[in-house]
Amino acid sequence: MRMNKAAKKLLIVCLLLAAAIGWYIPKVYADDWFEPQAGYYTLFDESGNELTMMAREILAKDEYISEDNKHYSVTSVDKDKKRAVAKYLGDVKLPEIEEDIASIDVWVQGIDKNANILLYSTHTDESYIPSDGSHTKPGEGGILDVAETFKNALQNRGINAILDKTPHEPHDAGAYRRSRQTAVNLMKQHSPVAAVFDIHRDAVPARVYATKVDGKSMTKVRIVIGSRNQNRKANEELAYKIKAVADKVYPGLIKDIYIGGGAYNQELSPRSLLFEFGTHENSKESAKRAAEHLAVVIDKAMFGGTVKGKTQEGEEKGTYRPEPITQEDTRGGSRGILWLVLLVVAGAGIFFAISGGRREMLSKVTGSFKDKDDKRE
Amino acid sequence: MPLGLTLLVVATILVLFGVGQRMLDRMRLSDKTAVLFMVAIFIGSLIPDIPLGRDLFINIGGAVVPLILVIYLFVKAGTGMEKARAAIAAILSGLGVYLAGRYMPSEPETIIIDPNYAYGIIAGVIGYLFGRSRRASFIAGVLGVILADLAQAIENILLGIPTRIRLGGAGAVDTVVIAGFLAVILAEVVGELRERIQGGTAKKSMVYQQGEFMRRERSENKYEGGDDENEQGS
Repeated sequence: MRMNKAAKKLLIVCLLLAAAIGWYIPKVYADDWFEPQAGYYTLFDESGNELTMMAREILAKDEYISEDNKHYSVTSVDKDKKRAVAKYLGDVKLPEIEEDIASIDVWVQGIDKNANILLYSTHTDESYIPSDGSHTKPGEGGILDVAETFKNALQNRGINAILDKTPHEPHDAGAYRRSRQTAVNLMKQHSPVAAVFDIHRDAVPARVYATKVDGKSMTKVRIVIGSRNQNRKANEELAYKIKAVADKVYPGLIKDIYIGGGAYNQELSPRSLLFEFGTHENSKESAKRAAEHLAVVIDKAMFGGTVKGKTQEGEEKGTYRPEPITQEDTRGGSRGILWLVLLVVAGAGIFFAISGGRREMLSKVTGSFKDKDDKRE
Repeated sequence: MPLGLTLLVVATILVLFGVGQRMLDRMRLSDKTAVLFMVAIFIGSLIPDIPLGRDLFINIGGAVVPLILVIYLFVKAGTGMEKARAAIAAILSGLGVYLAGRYMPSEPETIIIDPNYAYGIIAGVIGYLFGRSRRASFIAGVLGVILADLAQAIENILLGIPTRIRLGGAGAVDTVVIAGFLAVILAEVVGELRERIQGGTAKKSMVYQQGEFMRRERSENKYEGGDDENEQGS
């Protein structure tokens, strides 16, 4: 290897510098609490009504779909007061869920439940203080128990649910790099894939998620969708379907839908969602009850069938017959791929457009870079 | 169609149609070699990870093939200075990726740019600033993620963190591959923009031959440059 002395010295200095900086990096604790005190942002509508709380900074242009299906976009953020204001954009139209008067269980017959529902947890340390004694337990967080309950409840309904408990610690953004590998391996080993769910819990005060569903106290569930990936439409369709079924069958179970700036590995497969089961201040048992109820909703939202609805107090409120999701979902997935291809073509177009001249533009396609100087030889 | 396969098909078609051929030329890759590497990445992804030691694994498509490409590009680097620049860019990129993974927001509601794509951008910027070439950017992208993962593996052993490190474990769609390709594309676009802004190449006195820049005034055969690939123009 040809490398002069100065270059070698520079390389050694860089190595030592990298090692030194790496050594002094402070340890990061769970849930993004880098500030001296944990802070919560509160989101208000333009009339000053509280919409929700977030464990960390709310950003302008974030989108939020409330429990009553109103679509908001964040317009201003006051970092000092930890307050944000969102503009009401309109009501979200959820899919219609038919009420089944005859109550005949016809749809369950012949519905293909062979496709697998894959579960994993990016932040495997997330735990519930009242039940686990800490908000974080590396490699064995309470969230894995909630995911296990969710898996069992799905399996009890005849669905092939697979849970991968691979730890992804430390609890940081790098965890998504590691959980990506888990998700890909799950998909590789368990094809065909019906859906991929990343199981989390939030980090806001307990009251934000504590609720009563079907006459039992449990946590609400938030659905998080990544805004910047080709599967957004397909994922949104599944989220809306889940919310529509839950609103009819177990009102109060789905807290809201948050459309965030990340991809959360949701670009890997259509029908990928992230669920937040309660917060670190709720009990794990209440989150498990939410997981059992969500399994019923997922079953009916994805595979169809009849299901009896319950009020928040647990009284019967009719029978519903959601249709399987296959049709809508395929449409969303294809649109996503089309957008991806269009994006690549547009990117290539821009790349050509920034060329210095016509000849250079052509040279990018043909690869021939014989300019005047070459020809002179 | 899975994302990895979609991207592979799109990229292969683009290469076969000649798009980005000049970019590949600058990386000393023929169309055939480029397609071969892409197919190797995809097929290698299907093979189970190889254990390297306690809690450390490596994937053929996601890490071994990109590493072979990195070594090939490194050996082909024109000068000792270019090699040094590429090595420095890779180390700084590794540090950048490690810090990004550690300090970027991790809660779903707080993420602005997905960390898995930020690595490619970080490596691309570092590769361009320190390596000044597409080769260095690719090397910085691939090695950046792998070095950051190795640093994490050491930290896991020291602190007893129960996490397996799987280098390139997601195969063709692993952040190693994404960072490598994103860094090259970024270097290409930034290089082109810079050239357009400054009104042409800064190497008008040079001749481009066999993938290298050579000074024209003394001897056409004597190699004296070639690392500042972004600055060539029409």
